[in-house]
Amino acid sequence: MTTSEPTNQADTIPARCAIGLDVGGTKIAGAVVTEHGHVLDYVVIPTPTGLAPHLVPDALKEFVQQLRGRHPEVESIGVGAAGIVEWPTGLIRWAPNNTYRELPLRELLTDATGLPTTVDNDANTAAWAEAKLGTSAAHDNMIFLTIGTGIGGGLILNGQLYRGRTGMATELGHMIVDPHGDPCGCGNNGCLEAMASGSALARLGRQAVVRHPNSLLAALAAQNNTTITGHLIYTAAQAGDPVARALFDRAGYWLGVGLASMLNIFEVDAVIIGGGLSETGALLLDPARTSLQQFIFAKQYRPIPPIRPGSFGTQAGVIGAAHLALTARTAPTPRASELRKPA
Amino acid sequence: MPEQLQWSHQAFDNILKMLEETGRSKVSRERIADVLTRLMIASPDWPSQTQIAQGEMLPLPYRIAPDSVSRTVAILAADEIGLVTQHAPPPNRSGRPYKSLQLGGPRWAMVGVKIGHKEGHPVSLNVIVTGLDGRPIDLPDLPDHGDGRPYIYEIAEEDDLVERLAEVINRLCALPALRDRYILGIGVEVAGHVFEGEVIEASHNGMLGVALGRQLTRRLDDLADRLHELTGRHDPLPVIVDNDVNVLAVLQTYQPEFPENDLALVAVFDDGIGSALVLGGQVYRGGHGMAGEIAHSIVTGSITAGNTEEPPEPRSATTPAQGALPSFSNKCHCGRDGHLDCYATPIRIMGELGEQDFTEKTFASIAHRPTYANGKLTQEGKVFQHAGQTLGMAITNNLINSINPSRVLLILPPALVEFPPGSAAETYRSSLQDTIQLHAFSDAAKHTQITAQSLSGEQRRFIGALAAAIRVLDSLVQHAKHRCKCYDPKSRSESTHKDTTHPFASNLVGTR
Repeated sequence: MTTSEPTNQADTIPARCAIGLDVGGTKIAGAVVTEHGHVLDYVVIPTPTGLAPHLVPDALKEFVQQLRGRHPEVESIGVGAAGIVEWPTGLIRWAPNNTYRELPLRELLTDATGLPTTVDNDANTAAWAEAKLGTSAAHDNMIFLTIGTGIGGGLILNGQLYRGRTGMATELGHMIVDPHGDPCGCGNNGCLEAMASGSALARLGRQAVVRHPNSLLAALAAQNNTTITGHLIYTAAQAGDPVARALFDRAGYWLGVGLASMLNIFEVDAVIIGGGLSETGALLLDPARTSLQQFIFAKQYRPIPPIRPGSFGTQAGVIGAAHLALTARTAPTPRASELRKPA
Repeated sequence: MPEQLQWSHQAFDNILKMLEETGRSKVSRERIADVLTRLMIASPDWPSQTQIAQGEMLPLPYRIAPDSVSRTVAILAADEIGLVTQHAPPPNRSGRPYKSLQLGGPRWAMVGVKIGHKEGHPVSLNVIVTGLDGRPIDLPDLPDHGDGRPYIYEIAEEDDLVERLAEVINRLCALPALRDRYILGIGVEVAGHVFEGEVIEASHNGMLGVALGRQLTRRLDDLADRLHELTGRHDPLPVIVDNDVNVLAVLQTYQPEFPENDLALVAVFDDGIGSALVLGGQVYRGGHGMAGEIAHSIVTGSITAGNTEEPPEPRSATTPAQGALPSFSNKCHCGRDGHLDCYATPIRIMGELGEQDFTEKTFASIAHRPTYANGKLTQEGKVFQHAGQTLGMAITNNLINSINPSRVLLILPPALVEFPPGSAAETYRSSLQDTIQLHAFSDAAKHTQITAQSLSGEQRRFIGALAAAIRVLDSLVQHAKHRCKCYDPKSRSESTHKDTTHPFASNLVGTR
């Protein structure tokens, strides 16, 4: 378990606070967050491995109990989980990197803790944090892309999270930017995720070192048999390696192509990039801005929205989940198990 | 209270204030909107108060309190207002007598205008006058009156569009059948980019930066005076200008069979593709009115992959020869290449097949030719197949994978809806469906219903003008629901339950 120092132990004015949980394929982050977005406590644990469906809910219940022990004033729980999550029932239908299926997480946590709970997709909760508490909070319409191993998306339209009918909306990482492009894990070709994510970058990096054995990237990779990762390519690019920089140019180019289509459809006021790759800054975002300018429709007749890195980094998910739990109306809502009963 | 009242909603806001102040007991604006919406959906039928309260006209009925419906109807039907007309119970009917309710009545009208275009110029005004319930009002003083068709007024090359519009509208509204009616507003639909009453860019009509709404309302003062008599406040007459496909989407939201919160509408017109999004039961227009634009998404073959390290180079496109129809390889009318508009429209298909002239009839004759001859794909088959694939790709990418709508409604030329088996048109449709199945993420395609409606040029003139008229009532309803730009969307909290103020609140998990 890793525990970070609380970023703000005591607010001057007592504020309402909630527990925010961010459930990923490899780790679960938990935090106690105030209504103003201050993180009072932040803990990360590994996601339990194994096929038994109760493992993750059990770990979450224990995690909540632990955080609640230190912060008895918490009044609700918000969860952001990877995968397809139905709103507002909090039923997790499927997650690519977790073993659980059809997990009624909201119901389980509410029953176990007695606290009002909301469960949403993790990209949605991160988007919510950026939209309501981040530097882009002035915008009514916003696209949030989280670019890491894969690409996830959250969409704020008219100040509200847009989730679609089943919660499957805004799978922006699976927007096809080149039908003849690289294969994606979902079975299609040329998805944005296959062309511009951290894993795409790493895959292309492995090919590039074969073709350019004298490059700095190849030299760095050869040191101690280092696996080629997005971070290694970033290091080489920062040091001026043209091969590594070309890889960022390519990923940024396709990111811009995807963003042009997204902006043609949603015409938002801002694009916020989160996730690990956002930390590469201009290396990725400058070529993305250039190709966005190249492909967006009718740029002369409307402002092109800014593309900015997010305000909360890797904590956006927990902050958004907690804030969503505090701000969502708490009217009695249907339970997932009730809704799924036949009429 | 509205945070920033739009000029075109000032009259609506004052009508609502007047309604709030009329009754002995207060009714909410949201309830007024609910009753107006239910009456519009029920039209042309006249429901009872009980039916309104029970939501019988809704695909997924939910109830609102009968008492509040009763109070709201009493205010809307008050003699001095007449937004609703109460009709006596049908004779010889057993059971408890009830009054049936008509939206509007003899005191109100709305005007809808579709601006027709040809070769980059506005050429006609297709005008319809309706009651608040959307039923065309017969104007017996006009020579070509009857059967609900729009009145068509030509626009000469030397005409000023706004002056011509104002002249036609003023003349129509002065006719005996209309001169004693309040005009709730004027709806105008334009093919192009429209934002808050301004035509930002409409290459089809040659309009660029025209503040059509404001310019027109200044010329309709006499009609604004009529509303002044009612509200006691002098507001500009509401002129609601919107994109042509957006108004078609608004019309969909008032159809009794509209069962979903989220609908994507894709219209294939002769020379372009239009699309609109209905999200949460409301048309989504984006930050500057251009949302839902799939026509200019890159679909296929436009970018060469290049080597794996460098960004690819765009393919160079050509322009069509003088007098020829544009083909797939010609630039998009926006100046770029590889866009959906370059492939999936009837004119591009005809151009790719080397045809010189386009009419609906010639397109139908080609679309109905066989896809295969002697066991081989014909040229028509290849071209229609490719066109269908590009449309399928754009729908999958931009709509199904991004929005996950309940339904995609295709509005197509008649030749692509009614066709013989084995025809090129059938290939267009089947390759469209196959592409969606192939490329949709996860099981999204399974849950998205694809339906198609046919719309000929003649029908489009009527439906476009009608939808523009209904867009006026919709503006009043959206204002009453606080769902327009007069209100700050951030003031709304995130709801954990479905929006029960909207009649189309859908089943959370079921598939209809």
